[in-house]
Amino acid sequence: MSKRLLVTPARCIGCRTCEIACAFSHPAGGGPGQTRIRAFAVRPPERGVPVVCLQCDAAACVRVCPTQALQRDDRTGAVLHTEERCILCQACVAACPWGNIGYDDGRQVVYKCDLCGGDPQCARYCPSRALEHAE
Amino acid sequence: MNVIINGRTLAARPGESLLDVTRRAGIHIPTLCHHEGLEPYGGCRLCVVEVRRGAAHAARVVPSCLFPAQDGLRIETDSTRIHRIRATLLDLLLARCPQAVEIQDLAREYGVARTSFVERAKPDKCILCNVCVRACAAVGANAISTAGRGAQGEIALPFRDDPRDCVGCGACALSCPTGAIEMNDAGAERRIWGRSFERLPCPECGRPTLTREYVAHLARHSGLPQETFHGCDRCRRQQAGRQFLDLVGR
Repeated sequence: MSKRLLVTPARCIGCRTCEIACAFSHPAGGGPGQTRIRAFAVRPPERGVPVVCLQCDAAACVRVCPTQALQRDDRTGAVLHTEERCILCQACVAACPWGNIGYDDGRQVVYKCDLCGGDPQCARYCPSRALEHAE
Repeated sequence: MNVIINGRTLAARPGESLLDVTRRAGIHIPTLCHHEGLEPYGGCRLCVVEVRRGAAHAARVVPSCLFPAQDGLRIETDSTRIHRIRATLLDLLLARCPQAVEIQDLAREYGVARTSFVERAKPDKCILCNVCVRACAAVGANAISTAGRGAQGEIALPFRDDPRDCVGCGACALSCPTGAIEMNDAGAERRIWGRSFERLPCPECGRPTLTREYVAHLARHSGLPQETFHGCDRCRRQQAGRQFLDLVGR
């Protein structure tokens, strides 16, 4: 089996390094782009929980996309969004039960986790192994 | 299967269009109506190329987005003849929509500084590429289509004034390559195609999301319950975080 992005919320210290690593790995307009991952301080407030695309097997986003702009990359297992195929209907944004697809109003693009082409930078920079890229 | 493009032999897959083959090889062909997510349309004709089946055959001019690759086909993408055809098309488009920056730039590239035709009485930015119409059809609303011919051609509602089928998703305006379709969001109100829509507030934070009509449309088309499409992505993420913590008992 290929590697997966493993999330262990109990280990998250809420430092949000993952968000920074993600934003810098997806630059837009000459600066850091939108982060695809969020580390929320939910409870207790000083700790966090990383929320990122689960690359669902029967993904709602893929199901509702009318132009096949969302397709599975068999190599990495990621559900990839192809901007050129997107008509910005935002059905995927509304359909994701976990809120893991976003729409950037300013740049007019839909964005989601792409597992950084097989080497997720959030996992690489996570200091507490709450995020791991492993078998 | 191989095709010969500008003297280069390139591999092609059965059923693939000439435009796909050239794009894959990094050869630039200008397009206006082409959209990767939508069916090829062949409307703008800017992607025309010369094809020749063999040395003995005369060259034909075909739109590369619609023409399927065939073994041994010889293709010229930027000959003098093609250049001249594209310049004429851009000359005409410039008469139709002098304000569209995309057309101005392309026309300049093909040596057309200003149109040699009579400018349209009511110029707009629409280039009749039909991306909006096809996007609307992809969404499943089919609220707009082309109407009229020639200089009177335009994208319009049925009978030019019936917005009943529009669900206010905004895909037409957002996918328009020249920004010709007006859509105005002010607070929870969205105005498009002469109709006013209410964007449903996120039950958690109140931020406006999709229109009521679009949510109903998505539910009907996907077979999923309407609640699936309620709420904003940010709040749903927060909820996901709480659910994950509940799962691991923290």
